[in-house]
Amino acid sequence: MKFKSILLPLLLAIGLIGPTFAGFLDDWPDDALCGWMENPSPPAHIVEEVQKRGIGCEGGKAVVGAAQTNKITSTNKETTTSNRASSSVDKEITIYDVAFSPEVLEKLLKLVVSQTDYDFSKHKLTNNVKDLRCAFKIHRVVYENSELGVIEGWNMAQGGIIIQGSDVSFTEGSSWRVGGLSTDKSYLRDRVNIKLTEDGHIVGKMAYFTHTVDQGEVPREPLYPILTKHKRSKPINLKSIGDSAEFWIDIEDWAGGILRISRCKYI
Amino acid sequence: MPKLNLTRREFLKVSGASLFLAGLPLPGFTKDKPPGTISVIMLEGGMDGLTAVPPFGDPNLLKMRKGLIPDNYLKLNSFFGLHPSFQYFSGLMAKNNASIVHATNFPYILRSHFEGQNLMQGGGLSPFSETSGWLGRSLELAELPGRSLSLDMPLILRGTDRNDNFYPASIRSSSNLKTKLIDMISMFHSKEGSSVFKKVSKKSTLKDSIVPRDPASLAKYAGKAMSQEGGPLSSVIKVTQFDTHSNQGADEFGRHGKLLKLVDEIIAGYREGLGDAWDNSIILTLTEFGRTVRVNGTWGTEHGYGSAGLLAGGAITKSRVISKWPGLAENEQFEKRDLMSTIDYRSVCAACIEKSLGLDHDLIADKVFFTPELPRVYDYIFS
Repeated sequence: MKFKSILLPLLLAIGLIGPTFAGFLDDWPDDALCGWMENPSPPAHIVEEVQKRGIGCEGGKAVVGAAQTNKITSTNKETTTSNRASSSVDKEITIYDVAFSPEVLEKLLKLVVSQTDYDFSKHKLTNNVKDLRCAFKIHRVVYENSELGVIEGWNMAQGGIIIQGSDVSFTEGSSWRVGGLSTDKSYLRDRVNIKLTEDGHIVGKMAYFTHTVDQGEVPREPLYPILTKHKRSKPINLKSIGDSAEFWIDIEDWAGGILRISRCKYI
Repeated sequence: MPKLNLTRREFLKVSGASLFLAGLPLPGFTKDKPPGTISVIMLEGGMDGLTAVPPFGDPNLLKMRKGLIPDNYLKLNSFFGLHPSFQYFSGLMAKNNASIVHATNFPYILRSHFEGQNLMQGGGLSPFSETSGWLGRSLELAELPGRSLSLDMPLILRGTDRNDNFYPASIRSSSNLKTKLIDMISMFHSKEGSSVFKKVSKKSTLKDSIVPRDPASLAKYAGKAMSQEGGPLSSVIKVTQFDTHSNQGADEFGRHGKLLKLVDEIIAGYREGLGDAWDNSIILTLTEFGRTVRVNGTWGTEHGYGSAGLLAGGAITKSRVISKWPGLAENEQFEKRDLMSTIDYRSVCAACIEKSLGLDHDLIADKVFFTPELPRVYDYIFS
């Protein structure tokens, strides 16, 4: 009985003091807690409260706006080497693998293509023509006042073209003549993916500048129209290479273009 | 609900974007060429990670986000989806060249744009505590002097006194007048200030100053520059206007969706410009905070805390969503209103620096982010 009379007050005391102690820091301002954090060995309940509030401390003051980082006390930025034994790894992170169905995957993979990517499988490409070098010019065709289009008399681009097998490329000296980005010759070198078909058509995609850009004007990116077998095109006659050829290119509603090829010679 | 009827052209006109390049390996300064390149897309205003990467597996998403989650999101797995604006990014995910970190952000909880943007660039322990940026400090550690493609040097790139400026303006057509004007202005400045004006005058007449101003073209230009031998190893593109307090929209035609589309185009621009250099590149987005979980009274969202980070590049070889998902129930939200950030985004930045610049994680944690205990998440992203 005597033992019970001691045990009861003891249990009551533990039950009351515990919660009271846990909450007594609730009213403490952040700066007061950080003041304690300046001690070489701050009390464990202070450290716990700082961590619970997610505040950072620097120079005894709470750092405004900094949420909880594992760094509570100030950092010596003058240290030149890392003195940590090993890196900590967050082990609670979950990796959610990405999983697409085969149909979706096929569709998505088609989205990541270069602007000059072109599927030539629908064309019969030539493979037995000797290497050729020709001259070329590109003219603008304006459809604003005529359904058939008006071919402008000046060259938007000019130079040489080389045909090797089915591959078609522009020579080093070739250039666009519309200013802005077109003065960068890499567009005619790197942004062209065109080939010659068995029946003398040029098909594929290439960078194509539609607008003239004067000095000081904001440059315009080229478009990447598809060169296909246009009904108005006149293909290269592979049996009579001296004949000129022209390839009509549909670009925008108001204007298109013609790629004219002439003076072809075997090389 | 009123809608903004902007055409794409009008939208691009009002969408600000700036490009900054940095990290030129210079003979005599750079010890070894780093293994890759790092590009940062800063999304200012607070990007809504819950709309960009909807966690449709969380039962509370549709309850709290009615009207802001697109119906046609792409299902990435059984828990997360991807906003339809991310057409190109979804293709990169299919190619295992893109990942997402969700419920993450810099450790900043006070929801101020100015403080948050300062902290996401400075990478310090508190806003305005640093005069240099985490990327600049990383470049300095890698002994790579910076070059900023702008008249100002953004905080994120500050960190070395060997930085250089270049502004992409073509003033050749009026070079005499403007060059004289710049010379006159430079005379009234200190020696250092004067040299900046002279650099601007000289470099603005260079051929490579012809750069289109839309964000995708800037990214392509940056990618191309970074792909060159001896070119910059780092670039930063800033996109603004993510602060969608009203009429946020759900799908790709809404206000937020158009901004996400812009981010998608920037990533596509980088991909095209980088060419073969893509294989060793990493691109990551930053935002100062996420948005509130609940929709507000004007069909928008308020400043929040956790968001999502997008990662792309050939350096990523397995696409995944990386998260310690906190849940969207009210008692799981930060201060009963925001998505909780459970991954310190500085860890993600550190992993990207480690991958691209070849620096040791412990060194980055200590010298770049001043947090030696910063967890290493490298393996989650790059393994």
